[in-house]
Amino acid sequence: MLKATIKKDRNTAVKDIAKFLLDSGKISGVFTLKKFEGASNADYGLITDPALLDFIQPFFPIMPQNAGKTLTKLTKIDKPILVIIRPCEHRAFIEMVKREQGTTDNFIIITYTCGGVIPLKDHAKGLKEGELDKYWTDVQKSINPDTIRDNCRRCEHFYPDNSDILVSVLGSSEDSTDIYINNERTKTILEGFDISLIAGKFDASSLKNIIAERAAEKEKQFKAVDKSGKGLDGLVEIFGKCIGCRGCNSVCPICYCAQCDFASANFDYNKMILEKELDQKGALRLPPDTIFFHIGRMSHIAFSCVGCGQCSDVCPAGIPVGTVFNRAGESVAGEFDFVPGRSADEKIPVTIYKEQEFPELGE
Amino acid sequence: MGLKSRAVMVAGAGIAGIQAALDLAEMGIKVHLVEESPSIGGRMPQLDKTFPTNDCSMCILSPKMSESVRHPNIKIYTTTTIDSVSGIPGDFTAKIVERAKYIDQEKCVSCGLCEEKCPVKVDDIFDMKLRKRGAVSRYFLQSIPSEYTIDPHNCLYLNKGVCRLCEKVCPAGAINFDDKDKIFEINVGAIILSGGIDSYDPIHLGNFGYRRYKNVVTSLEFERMLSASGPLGGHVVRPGDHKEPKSLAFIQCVGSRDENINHNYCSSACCMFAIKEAMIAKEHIKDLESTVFYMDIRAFGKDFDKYYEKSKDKYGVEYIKSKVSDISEDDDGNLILKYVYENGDISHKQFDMAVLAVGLQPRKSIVNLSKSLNFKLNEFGFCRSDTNLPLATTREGIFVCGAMNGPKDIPESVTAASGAAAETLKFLRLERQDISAEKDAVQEKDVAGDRPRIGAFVCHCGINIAGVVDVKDVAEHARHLPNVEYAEDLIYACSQDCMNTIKERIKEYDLNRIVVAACTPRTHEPLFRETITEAGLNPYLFEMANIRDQCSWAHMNEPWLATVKSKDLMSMGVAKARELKPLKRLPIEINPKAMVIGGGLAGMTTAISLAEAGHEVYLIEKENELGGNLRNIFFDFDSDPQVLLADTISKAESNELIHIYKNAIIKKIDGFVGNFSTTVTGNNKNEEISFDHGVVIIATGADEHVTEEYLYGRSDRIVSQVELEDILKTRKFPGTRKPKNVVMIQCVGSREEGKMYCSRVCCTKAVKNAGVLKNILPNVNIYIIYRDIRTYGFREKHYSELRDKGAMFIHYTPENKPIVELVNEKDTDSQVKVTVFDPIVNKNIEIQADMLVLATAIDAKKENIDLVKMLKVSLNTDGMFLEAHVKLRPVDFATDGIFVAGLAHCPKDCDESITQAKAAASRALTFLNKKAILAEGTICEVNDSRCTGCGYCVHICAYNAIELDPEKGTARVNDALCKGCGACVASCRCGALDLRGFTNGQMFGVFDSLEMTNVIDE
Repeated sequence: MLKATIKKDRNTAVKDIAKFLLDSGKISGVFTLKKFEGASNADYGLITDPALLDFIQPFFPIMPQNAGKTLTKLTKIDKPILVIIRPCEHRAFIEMVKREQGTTDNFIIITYTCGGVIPLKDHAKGLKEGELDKYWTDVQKSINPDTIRDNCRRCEHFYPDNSDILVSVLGSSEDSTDIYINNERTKTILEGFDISLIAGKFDASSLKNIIAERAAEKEKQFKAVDKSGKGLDGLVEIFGKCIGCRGCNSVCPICYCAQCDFASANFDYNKMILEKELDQKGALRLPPDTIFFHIGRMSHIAFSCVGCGQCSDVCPAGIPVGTVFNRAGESVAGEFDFVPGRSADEKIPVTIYKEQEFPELGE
Repeated sequence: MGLKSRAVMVAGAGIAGIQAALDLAEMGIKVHLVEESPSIGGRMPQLDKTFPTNDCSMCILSPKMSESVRHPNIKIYTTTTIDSVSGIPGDFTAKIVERAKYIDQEKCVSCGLCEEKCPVKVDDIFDMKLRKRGAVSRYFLQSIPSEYTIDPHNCLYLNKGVCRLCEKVCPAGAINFDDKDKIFEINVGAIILSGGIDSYDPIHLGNFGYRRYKNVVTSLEFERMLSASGPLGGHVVRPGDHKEPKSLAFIQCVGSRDENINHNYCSSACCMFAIKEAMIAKEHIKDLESTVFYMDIRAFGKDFDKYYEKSKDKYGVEYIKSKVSDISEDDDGNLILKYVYENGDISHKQFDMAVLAVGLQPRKSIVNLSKSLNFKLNEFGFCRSDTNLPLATTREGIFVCGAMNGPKDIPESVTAASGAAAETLKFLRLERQDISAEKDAVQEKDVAGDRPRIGAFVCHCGINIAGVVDVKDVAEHARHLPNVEYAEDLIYACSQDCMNTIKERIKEYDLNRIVVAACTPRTHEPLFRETITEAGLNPYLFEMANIRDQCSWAHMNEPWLATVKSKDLMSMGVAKARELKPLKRLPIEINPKAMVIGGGLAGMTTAISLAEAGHEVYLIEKENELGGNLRNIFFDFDSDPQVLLADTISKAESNELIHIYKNAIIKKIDGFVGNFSTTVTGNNKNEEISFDHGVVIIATGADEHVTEEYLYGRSDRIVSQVELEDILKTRKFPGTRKPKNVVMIQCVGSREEGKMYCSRVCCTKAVKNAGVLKNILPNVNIYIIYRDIRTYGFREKHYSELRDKGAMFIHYTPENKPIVELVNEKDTDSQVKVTVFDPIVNKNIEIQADMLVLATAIDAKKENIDLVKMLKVSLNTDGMFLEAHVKLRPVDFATDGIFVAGLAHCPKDCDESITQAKAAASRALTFLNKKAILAEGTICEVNDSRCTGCGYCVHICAYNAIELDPEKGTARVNDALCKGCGACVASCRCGALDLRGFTNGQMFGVFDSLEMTNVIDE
């Protein structure tokens, strides 16, 4: 692994790389957050005009959507694209690659040590005076900013080693940027770029405080949603507030079905079913099957949950969907020594056949 | 030769006979399957579980039994014996006698009333006399045919002229005391004998106290005790006092390996079934101690050693290498075993029960059969066959399989059965079959768009159902369900007149969906489907509710609940029927050519068999000559392997239907059953040859293990057994003088951590080579250092002969392996010093050996992995090819159209490779002899608009029936390969997959129809 120190702020450093690659024709475009002049919001864009690179804001602390899902749509473009995204977005993309929804072949992926993102709703309401500055001060101090998502506060995967390039952000100074190049392919494509590479590996020991802080936060949050042993009542306690909007489903980067079964005619209540349910129960909550929906989604995707928090963020009812899914998913994935998004070569447990599996449960 | 016959007689309907019959029937041959007992099935139905998978014996057998009774090409004759066979091969006339059954098999509905009322109680043979049955009885619960028969030896009326109670109670009027023996003369081209074996009766060995002590039982009796459907319902108790035993002794080789009773052979299966019983018993009884007393553990089959190790490590079965000299009994019925260790020490131990692993022996009837059919028996009274022709009897046109010509376990019997089926073909007229167009097929009515008009029928099954369930109430319930136009209860729905009633009602009420609430669809669904087809309905517009097994049987003591449940099952059946759609079975054409990969003994044998049956074969060999491992084998006990090799090569090379490619490398195999396409590079590496074929046979062989143990490679005096063959042939011994002391070490690279399998042939090879050496140098001292001597079957004889000739056998354990040193390190011609602990004298001994011979293991070929990728088949943990089912599908793969033979499957001897090669040919011919096969109707389909192409289903499908369409990016199901198991449907998150005939819509309809009333609380 190689390391380089660029004596510029991180935004400029990354922009220079992008500009070099685009100018030299080695890539066809740059995919990252951008904020065009006069725009109130940062959002994702695919930029092919080098002149527009001045508007990229790769580190701007919001997540308008989990880019992992967006990338699957770009996977068919022939010429390489430079992608600058957050670790959880990259991990979501890797999970999609395993599901044949894309390939990494034509992406050069830059991720960074991530301080977290501000909830979309807070950003939409308008940030308070100095809030963004406070965020960056905390990031430089390598502590959890106050304003970030709950999911980010407890994230354990914020200093990844599986991207092509890693940019050190947490605890880094504003005028010098350390980057880490993780493979030969990336080294080759950067040939000709004014940079001095030395052997070097990202050292996570500088992050040990925030690692500990987030681990403690994780324990706290998981405990708060732990309803184990409470069965259906526990699920009602958590998901009882669900209004059935399926927002969580539509923003989830791992929900990849062309049409969700729960939104299909299979779950339409016809006259016979309605009458039978009413006969048996005497009352029916409407819309029906909201809890069933979450159980179904959980059984389908929770073990691949990358913990980005989009679902909690968009939930109008304030359900900590992401925390519950993350908690449930980790306990399942752990049984298989599976970490979602770790590597595209790591097979999804459900697709592996083993003659002996959980022998303690009987043959 | 102008062959005319298209029929074969298979005599004996155990698993071997059934397999032979099914293979031939599938090739379009008419089979007369003749069985002496009242049911087909043989020994397997008596067994509880099977090794090494612990599959339930009955569960894996019964589909094959059902298939053979339903097959239009198989005619079954039970209670039938062969009187004589006349004529010549290709044109035999067999006279067979069907004993009177005294029950009209057409009328009998197997309700069981007759047996209930029968005043006679006799020992039940099937249940090893652990239970009583009537003089009228069904052979066993799952008998096929299922009808009852009267045993003329015990029937009161037939012997004393009084009683006839059964006649009075039979609701079907099926009892016929005027029944007579029937004689049939059948014309067949060839005959397969598959009459099986008996187990040894230990009453002759007084020292074990069998029959004297109640708590001494045989392994077969114990098998019935373990069986859930056996007389004890699977709750093992001591016969003496009905208490649960806490300790069990298993005594091996009872009636085997015993020269005193002319049983100087090994029964081959007893070690494994004792291991199995010892383990399974521990599952039945908590804290049970199982101890096996043995001479050698002969776990020589595929994955057997892993099973043996598991029994020790995971189950804690104890093994004591010793000989039990006698058993005595104390006042409480406990047994005291006296046993002798190798070193002569005598010990005693008390057990609650003892199980004698009784050996296998020829049936008594074989003597008369051999006389009337004119075939010869061997010295032990088994049917005689030759090493190179392991499936032929001494009479041309009559073949043998199963254990009739030597002890075998189930997969070997099944393999031999398929092999024997292939052997008969040279006496038959073969024709590729068309998909049989039904004669006078009724025009199928188009029901598309029609409102469901359901007919519901409820079967009484005599009192079988109606005795518990209120069938009239169930019919009444059905009548009021939505879309039910007509409902009726029938006394015996499967009887011919009731079938006619159903057909009439379809016409009368314009019914377009039919539900029958009766017994199990496994046996009866095909029958009802046929019936509604005759009335013009698509066969898939039928649904069955099993209210016999699941209601009247399961809840016989709660009739009211049984009725409630029957109504629920009826509701569910109707709900399913409402959504049923007509399904079609699409034809898949079969290319008649075959590709055989590997030109060793197995590959050549398969190729010759296929070519003799008229099929073109591409035989692919990667070396520049044919022969494989057999090229290095020069000695056998009764024959010359090199003669066999030369014969086989000349047959293969002279057959113009066999295209041989030497130095060939397979580049690519595409396609699926019936439609493969392969590209190879042949002699000229630059030239690629492509050809199409319908099946693939993998016969790629195996490698000799190259060891680094025991100083191998450090001295000319240390050689492998294969190298010894060459030395024995050339008689060029290492060293300057002829060897005086020769040491052989067994299990070099076998039966060790990471390679936990027996290489099977090495013990026999050592015995054989030692014998040859003794013949050349009569004064040589031979020391064979072994773990277990595994000279199974008739090989045992050669082992004892070698002992008689003075060879020394020294037992070692893997913890205490022999130590090999060179006497003089610097001298390349140095003698070899072998130090080993000898348990007989209880100390280390040193042998100055002139030659050390290592029995190196048989290793799987590393290149196997290339084929695995191309054909998407599997390997086991040892790298050997993994068959579809280790017991009953030993040469098939889960993927249709691909087969395996020879060492590629697992280590085996020449005769076994020949047998398996012929079996592979037989299985391949079940496809090749058809112009087309029909895909299943109930297969999966993909809804493209929902499919995201994630590939879960591709990974999950066990039959490689699904791939991703590169263009559309969606899953694509291969109709020919899909078995309709539905695993992919369960895996599909997007709901894009559906199983025809079991669609999500249909299943949801079924669930929604449930009344959900909690009757238990009421």
